[in-house]
Amino acid sequence: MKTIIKIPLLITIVLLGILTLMSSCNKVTNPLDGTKLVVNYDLINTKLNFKFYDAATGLLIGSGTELKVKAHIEGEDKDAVIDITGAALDDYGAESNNGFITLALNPNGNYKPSKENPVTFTLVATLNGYLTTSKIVSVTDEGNYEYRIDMVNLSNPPQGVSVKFQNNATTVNSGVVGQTVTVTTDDGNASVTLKEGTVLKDKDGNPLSGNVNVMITFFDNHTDESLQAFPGGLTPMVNQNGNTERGVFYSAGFVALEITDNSGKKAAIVEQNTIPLNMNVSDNTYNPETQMNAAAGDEVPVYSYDPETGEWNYEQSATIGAGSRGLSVSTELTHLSFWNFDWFTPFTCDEGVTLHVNLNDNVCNCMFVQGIMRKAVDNTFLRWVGFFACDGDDVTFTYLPGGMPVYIDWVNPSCQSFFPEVFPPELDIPDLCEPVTYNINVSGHDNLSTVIVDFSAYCASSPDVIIKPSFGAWYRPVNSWCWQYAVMINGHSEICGVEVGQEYVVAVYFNGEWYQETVLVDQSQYIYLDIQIPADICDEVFGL
Amino acid sequence: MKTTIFFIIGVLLLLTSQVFSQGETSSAKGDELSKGISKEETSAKNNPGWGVAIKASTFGPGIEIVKAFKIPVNIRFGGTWLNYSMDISQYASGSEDVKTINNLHLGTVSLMADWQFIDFMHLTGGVLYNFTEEIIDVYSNDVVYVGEVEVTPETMGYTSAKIYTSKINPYLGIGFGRSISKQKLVGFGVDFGVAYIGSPKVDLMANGMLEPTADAITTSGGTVYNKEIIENNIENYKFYPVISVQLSFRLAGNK
Repeated sequence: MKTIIKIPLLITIVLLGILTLMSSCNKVTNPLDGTKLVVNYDLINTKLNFKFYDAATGLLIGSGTELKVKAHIEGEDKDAVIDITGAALDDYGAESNNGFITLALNPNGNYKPSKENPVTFTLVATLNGYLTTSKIVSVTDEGNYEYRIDMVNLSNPPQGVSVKFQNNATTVNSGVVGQTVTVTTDDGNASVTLKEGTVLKDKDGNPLSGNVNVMITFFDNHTDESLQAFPGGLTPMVNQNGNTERGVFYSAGFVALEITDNSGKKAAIVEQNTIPLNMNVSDNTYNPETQMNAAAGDEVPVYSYDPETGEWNYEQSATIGAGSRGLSVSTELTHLSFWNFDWFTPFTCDEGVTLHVNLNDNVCNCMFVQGIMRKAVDNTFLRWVGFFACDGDDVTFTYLPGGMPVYIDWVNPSCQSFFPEVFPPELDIPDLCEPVTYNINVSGHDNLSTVIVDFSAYCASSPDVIIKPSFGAWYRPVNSWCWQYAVMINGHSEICGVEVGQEYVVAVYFNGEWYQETVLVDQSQYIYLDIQIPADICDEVFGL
Repeated sequence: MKTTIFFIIGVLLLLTSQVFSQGETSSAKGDELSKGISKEETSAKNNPGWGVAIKASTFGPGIEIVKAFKIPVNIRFGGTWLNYSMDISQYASGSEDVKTINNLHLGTVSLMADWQFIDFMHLTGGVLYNFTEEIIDVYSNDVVYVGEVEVTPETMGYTSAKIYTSKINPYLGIGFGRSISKQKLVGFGVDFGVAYIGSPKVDLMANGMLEPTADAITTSGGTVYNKEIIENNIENYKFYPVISVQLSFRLAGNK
């Protein structure tokens, strides 16, 4: 019995020993050792690129310098606007770098733009030494958008803009103006008078004191550079008669007025008296109400512009009269802001004409086209037109005034060798609201090629997580300032319109920073792997 | 784990030794009777017949059909099956934010031959058709915020790893008891063995934002595949321990 039990017991022990030995011979390895988690980061569906130009020089503000335009987002949909990385803006603000700001719309459901529910906000741009301006942005579909904002350098204004600084123009005591003074622009086109006894206070009701400085800026209504730099633009949203409307300005002229004391307080409230403002009106000013050039006796509405919010408000009407140089208009200012003498035409259609794109290019499937839309009646600048044109695309204009003949001038001589050609070079559109499709032919340049870029990044805190980002990048030839935009999706980009053998500056903007590198394009594919993402981005955006 | 195995084996040893030593225990009726019973029980000759068995094993529960021959060899044909899902989030990620579900599908069809070299022990050899697989799904359990952007679990996606072995597995083991009782209607046995499963294979799937995890990964060190990395890490796990207990019922043959 004992032997019988012992034998199987012995065999069992040996067998178990073999099993144990087999398992213990194998080092217990974590099956996931050495594996990587790879994430496509392509959450942002709408990218908004803003470029800030000096209206006089036509160069990007801050290009090669430390100048940074401060942007502040206003409007009911301001919560929809985020940084391109997905992070929240700091108090709805952002700073430019090299003249660029790239923002995005939060892709969450309640912020998804559509024609029925557009996302609309105002970007207010400020920079010391430049006139504050704003741009209203209305997005009706997901995609990549580019906006140009021209700003006036008060020390070097563009053609058609005249600036007058008068330091220590008069004195105020507890806000009360001691001596009457009139300040006139150097070209004599605009003047304001501070009458004795007028009370000046800032927006918080604090009276100005001591010496006051007056700055008056006049914008004419014909010069391209002046109209491009109109603070608030010519397609604003205005508050009038209890309604808020979007439309087009036919401007008779624009005056920006700023009064400050030496402590930096800026006058906003005017009491006891009004401030007379006088402005010359060009004889070629078009009056849409009479459909003729403006004449003495014509009534022109007056709108005030709040540079801090980008809002326009109807104030009153003024009558055009005869002036020393032809026509002029005067009004009495009851508060201090920017003032526009305009006939306002509301938008009458949500959707209008469509451009059908025929892209004739062996290299690129999409190219960025840009032009100026002008009013046919007086050939004046109305707005910039720019979009990414992909072969077969239909680009429909939205929020338009009906019955307004315009034409689009596609010529871009400064970047012509890099930007595509568009035919016809001048496209006539009799009525922006007509549901008509116009064909445009877009073609690139034969000497250009496509370069493929593959990119992956990681955070030092989690090296086993590889991120394949989606973002936009800018590139330009080293000897040109014509920046073009390329898009990377999930770490892969095909940049077309590049000349092999040429040096390019490649740059990205995110989280307020600008990252730039010069690259000699000598091959058709570039691979950038294991790029380390800054720790603050890793923490704030990815939680790594 | 090893302590548990040893404990179970020890209990089973005691149990089975009681079963087959019943035939050997002296009874009050006398040595002749016990000797007679003992002789038959300790005889290496088999009692041919048919039987069915129910079993529980490390491949799950199952049934077998047993054929006993005159020679001390029994043939067993049967199968096992077990589906089991378990939420192992707490153990895998340590967090309920990332769900890890382990779906275990155990299953075999087996053909075994037992050599009853001693009355109460047998050596077993055979082959298994093994369709066992383990699927581990990992996904986000809740909305995640990337900055201000809300990422739903659907957008984030999930990864799924299917681990499986080669289908034909040879088996070798040792058993206590009999596949079919020699004299009684009911028999009990316990088997210990190993199946050679080969190096496990992995199929990896991912979707949503995690989709490239299942594809080729290009790093500065070259191109790798997560699937291959995992397979390399588990390639030494080629043997699968099989422990089974079975209860058999003689259907036909001499009793």
